Amino acid sequence: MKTRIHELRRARKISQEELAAAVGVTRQTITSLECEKYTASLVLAYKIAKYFGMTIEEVFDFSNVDEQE
Amino acid sequence: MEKFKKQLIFRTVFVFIFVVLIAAAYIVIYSTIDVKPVSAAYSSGFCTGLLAVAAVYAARYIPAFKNEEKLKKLYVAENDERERFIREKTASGSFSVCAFLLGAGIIISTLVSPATAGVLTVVLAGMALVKMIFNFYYRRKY
Repeated sequence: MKTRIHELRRARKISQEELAAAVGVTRQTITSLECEKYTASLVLAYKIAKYFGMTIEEVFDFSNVDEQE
Repeated sequence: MEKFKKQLIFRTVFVFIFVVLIAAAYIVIYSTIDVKPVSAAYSSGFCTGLLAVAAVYAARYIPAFKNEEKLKKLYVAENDERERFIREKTASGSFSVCAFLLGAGIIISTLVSPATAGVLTVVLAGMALVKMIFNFYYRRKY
Protein backbone atom coordinates (compact mmCIF):
# COMPACT_ATOMS: atom_id res chain seq x y z
CA MET A 1 0.00 0.00 0.00
CA LYS A 2 1.26 3.46 -0.88
CA THR A 3 1.87 5.78 2.04
CA ARG A 4 3.05 9.33 2.61
CA ILE A 5 5.11 8.36 5.66
CA HIS A 6 8.47 8.99 4.01
CA GLU A 7 7.34 12.33 2.62
CA LEU A 8 5.86 13.44 5.96
CA ARG A 9 8.93 12.32 7.85
CA ARG A 10 11.26 14.25 5.59
CA ALA A 11 9.12 17.37 5.77
CA ARG A 12 9.21 17.29 9.55
CA LYS A 13 12.82 16.02 9.80
CA ILE A 14 11.89 12.98 11.78
CA SER A 15 14.04 9.84 11.63
CA GLN A 16 12.65 6.35 11.21
CA GLU A 17 13.87 5.52 14.72
CA GLU A 18 11.98 8.45 16.22
CA LEU A 19 8.76 7.56 14.44
CA ALA A 20 9.18 3.88 15.32
CA ALA A 21 9.72 4.70 19.00
CA ALA A 22 6.71 7.02 19.02
CA VAL A 23 4.31 4.44 17.61
CA GLY A 24 5.84 1.41 19.37
CA VAL A 25 7.27 -0.60 16.47
CA THR A 26 10.75 -1.39 15.19
CA ARG A 27 12.58 0.76 12.64
CA GLN A 28 12.36 -2.14 10.17
CA THR A 29 8.57 -1.93 10.25
CA ILE A 30 8.68 1.74 9.27
CA THR A 31 11.12 0.88 6.47
CA SER A 32 8.79 -1.86 5.21
CA LEU A 33 5.83 0.51 5.29
CA GLU A 34 7.72 3.14 3.34
CA CYS A 35 8.89 0.57 0.79
CA GLU A 36 5.29 -0.70 0.45
CA LYS A 37 6.35 -4.21 1.45
CA TYR A 38 4.10 -4.36 4.47
CA THR A 39 0.59 -3.03 5.11
CA ALA A 40 0.00 -1.53 8.53
CA SER A 41 -2.76 -2.76 10.79
CA LEU A 42 -5.62 -0.42 11.55
CA VAL A 43 -4.18 0.33 15.00
CA LEU A 44 -0.71 1.14 13.64
CA ALA A 45 -2.19 3.22 10.81
CA TYR A 46 -4.17 5.17 13.41
CA LYS A 47 -1.08 5.71 15.60
CA ILE A 48 1.00 6.93 12.65
CA ALA A 49 -1.76 9.24 11.40
CA LYS A 50 -2.25 10.58 14.92
CA TYR A 51 1.50 11.16 15.28
CA PHE A 52 1.44 13.36 12.16
CA GLY A 53 -1.82 15.02 13.24
CA MET A 54 -3.67 13.75 10.17
CA THR A 55 -6.38 11.27 9.29
CA ILE A 56 -5.57 7.73 8.18
CA GLU A 57 -6.74 8.48 4.64
CA GLU A 58 -4.34 11.43 4.43
CA VAL A 59 -1.35 9.22 5.27
CA PHE A 60 -2.31 5.95 3.60
CA ASP A 61 -3.50 5.61 0.00
CA PHE A 62 -6.49 3.27 -0.20
CA SER A 63 -7.13 3.86 -3.90
CA ASN A 64 -5.73 0.48 -5.01
CA VAL A 65 -6.98 -1.67 -2.13
CA ASP A 66 -9.19 -3.75 -4.47
CA GLU A 67 -6.19 -4.57 -6.67
CA GLN A 68 -4.29 -6.00 -3.69
CA GLU A 69 -7.03 -8.59 -3.09
CA MET B 1 4.89 -2.44 30.81
CA GLU B 2 4.30 -4.02 34.23
CA LYS B 3 2.11 -6.66 32.59
CA PHE B 4 4.91 -7.47 30.14
CA LYS B 5 7.40 -7.64 33.01
CA LYS B 6 5.15 -10.15 34.78
CA GLN B 7 4.93 -12.16 31.54
CA LEU B 8 8.73 -12.25 31.35
CA ILE B 9 8.99 -13.38 34.96
CA PHE B 10 6.40 -16.10 34.29
CA ARG B 11 8.26 -17.28 31.18
CA THR B 12 11.62 -17.32 32.99
CA VAL B 13 10.18 -19.27 35.93
CA PHE B 14 8.41 -21.67 33.53
CA VAL B 15 11.63 -22.33 31.61
CA PHE B 16 13.55 -22.79 34.87
CA ILE B 17 10.98 -25.32 36.17
CA PHE B 18 11.02 -27.09 32.80
CA VAL B 19 14.82 -27.38 32.88
CA VAL B 20 14.79 -28.64 36.48
CA LEU B 21 12.14 -31.26 35.64
CA ILE B 22 14.08 -32.43 32.57
CA ALA B 23 17.30 -32.64 34.60
CA ALA B 24 15.51 -34.53 37.42
CA ALA B 25 13.95 -36.98 34.96
CA TYR B 26 17.35 -37.45 33.35
CA ILE B 27 19.03 -38.24 36.69
CA VAL B 28 16.22 -40.59 37.82
CA ILE B 29 16.23 -42.52 34.53
CA TYR B 30 20.01 -42.89 34.48
CA SER B 31 20.22 -44.01 38.11
CA THR B 32 17.47 -46.64 37.80
CA ILE B 33 17.65 -48.02 34.25
CA ASP B 34 20.60 -49.45 32.37
CA VAL B 35 20.71 -47.13 29.36
CA LYS B 36 22.54 -48.01 26.13
CA PRO B 37 25.55 -45.73 25.34
CA VAL B 38 23.97 -44.58 22.07
CA SER B 39 20.74 -43.61 23.83
CA ALA B 40 22.73 -41.90 26.59
CA ALA B 41 24.69 -39.84 24.07
CA TYR B 42 21.53 -38.90 22.18
CA SER B 43 19.58 -37.85 25.26
CA SER B 44 22.62 -36.00 26.70
CA GLY B 45 22.85 -33.99 23.51
CA PHE B 46 19.15 -33.22 23.60
CA CYS B 47 19.34 -32.20 27.26
CA THR B 48 22.31 -29.92 26.53
CA GLY B 49 20.33 -28.34 23.69
CA LEU B 50 17.40 -27.63 26.00
CA LEU B 51 19.73 -26.08 28.57
CA ALA B 52 21.29 -23.92 25.84
CA VAL B 53 17.83 -22.67 24.82
CA ALA B 54 17.05 -21.87 28.46
CA ALA B 55 20.37 -20.01 28.76
CA VAL B 56 19.56 -17.94 25.65
CA TYR B 57 16.17 -17.02 27.13
CA ALA B 58 17.78 -16.05 30.43
CA ALA B 59 20.42 -13.98 28.64
CA ARG B 60 17.66 -12.09 26.78
CA TYR B 61 15.29 -11.57 29.68
CA ILE B 62 17.41 -11.03 32.79
CA PRO B 63 18.98 -7.69 31.63
CA ALA B 64 15.46 -6.42 30.87
CA PHE B 65 14.42 -6.95 34.51
CA LYS B 66 17.13 -4.55 35.68
CA ASN B 67 16.92 -1.86 33.00
CA GLU B 68 13.67 -0.12 32.01
CA GLU B 69 15.08 0.98 28.64
CA LYS B 70 16.06 -2.59 27.73
CA LEU B 71 12.63 -3.78 28.89
CA LYS B 72 10.96 -1.30 26.54
CA LYS B 73 13.20 -2.38 23.65
CA LEU B 74 12.40 -6.03 24.30
CA TYR B 75 8.69 -5.18 24.49
CA VAL B 76 8.79 -3.44 21.12
CA ALA B 77 10.86 -6.28 19.60
CA GLU B 78 8.43 -8.92 20.85
CA ASN B 79 5.21 -7.04 20.11
CA ASP B 80 6.11 -5.34 16.85
CA GLU B 81 3.24 -6.18 14.49
CA ARG B 82 5.48 -6.90 11.49
CA GLU B 83 7.56 -9.31 13.59
CA ARG B 84 4.37 -11.04 14.75
CA PHE B 85 3.11 -11.20 11.18
CA ILE B 86 6.41 -12.77 10.08
CA ARG B 87 6.26 -15.26 12.97
CA GLU B 88 2.69 -16.27 12.07
CA LYS B 89 3.53 -16.61 8.37
CA THR B 90 6.65 -18.63 9.20
CA ALA B 91 4.71 -20.94 11.53
CA SER B 92 1.88 -21.62 9.08
CA GLY B 93 4.22 -21.96 6.09
CA SER B 94 6.67 -24.26 7.84
CA PHE B 95 3.81 -26.43 9.15
CA SER B 96 2.49 -26.97 5.63
CA VAL B 97 5.94 -27.82 4.28
CA CYS B 98 6.64 -30.21 7.19
CA ALA B 99 3.26 -31.91 6.69
CA PHE B 100 3.96 -32.30 2.97
CA LEU B 101 7.46 -33.68 3.61
CA LEU B 102 6.11 -36.09 6.22
CA GLY B 103 3.47 -37.25 3.73
CA ALA B 104 6.14 -37.84 1.12
CA GLY B 105 8.28 -39.58 3.75
CA ILE B 106 5.39 -41.89 4.66
CA ILE B 107 4.85 -42.91 1.05
CA ILE B 108 8.55 -43.62 0.47
CA SER B 109 9.20 -45.33 3.83
CA THR B 110 6.19 -47.64 3.39
CA LEU B 111 8.19 -49.35 0.62
CA VAL B 112 11.39 -49.53 2.67
CA SER B 113 10.43 -49.73 6.35
CA PRO B 114 6.80 -50.11 7.43
CA ALA B 115 7.76 -49.39 11.06
CA THR B 116 9.20 -45.99 10.09
CA ALA B 117 6.09 -45.29 8.03
CA GLY B 118 4.00 -46.06 11.11
CA VAL B 119 6.00 -43.64 13.27
CA LEU B 120 5.79 -40.90 10.64
CA THR B 121 2.05 -41.45 10.30
CA VAL B 122 1.61 -41.04 14.06
CA VAL B 123 3.71 -37.84 13.96
CA LEU B 124 1.64 -36.47 11.07
CA ALA B 125 -1.62 -37.39 12.82
CA GLY B 126 -0.36 -35.75 16.03
CA MET B 127 0.57 -32.57 14.18
CA ALA B 128 -2.84 -32.50 12.47
CA LEU B 129 -4.58 -33.02 15.80
CA VAL B 130 -2.64 -30.19 17.46
CA LYS B 131 -3.45 -27.93 14.51
CA MET B 132 -7.14 -28.81 14.77
CA ILE B 133 -7.18 -28.06 18.50
CA PHE B 134 -5.50 -24.67 17.96
CA ASN B 135 -7.82 -23.90 15.05
CA PHE B 136 -10.85 -24.72 17.19
CA TYR B 137 -9.50 -22.61 20.08
CA TYR B 138 -8.83 -19.54 17.92
CA ARG B 139 -12.20 -19.84 16.14
CA ARG B 140 -13.87 -19.74 19.52
CA LYS B 141 -11.66 -16.92 20.74
CA TYR B 142 -12.07 -14.58 17.74
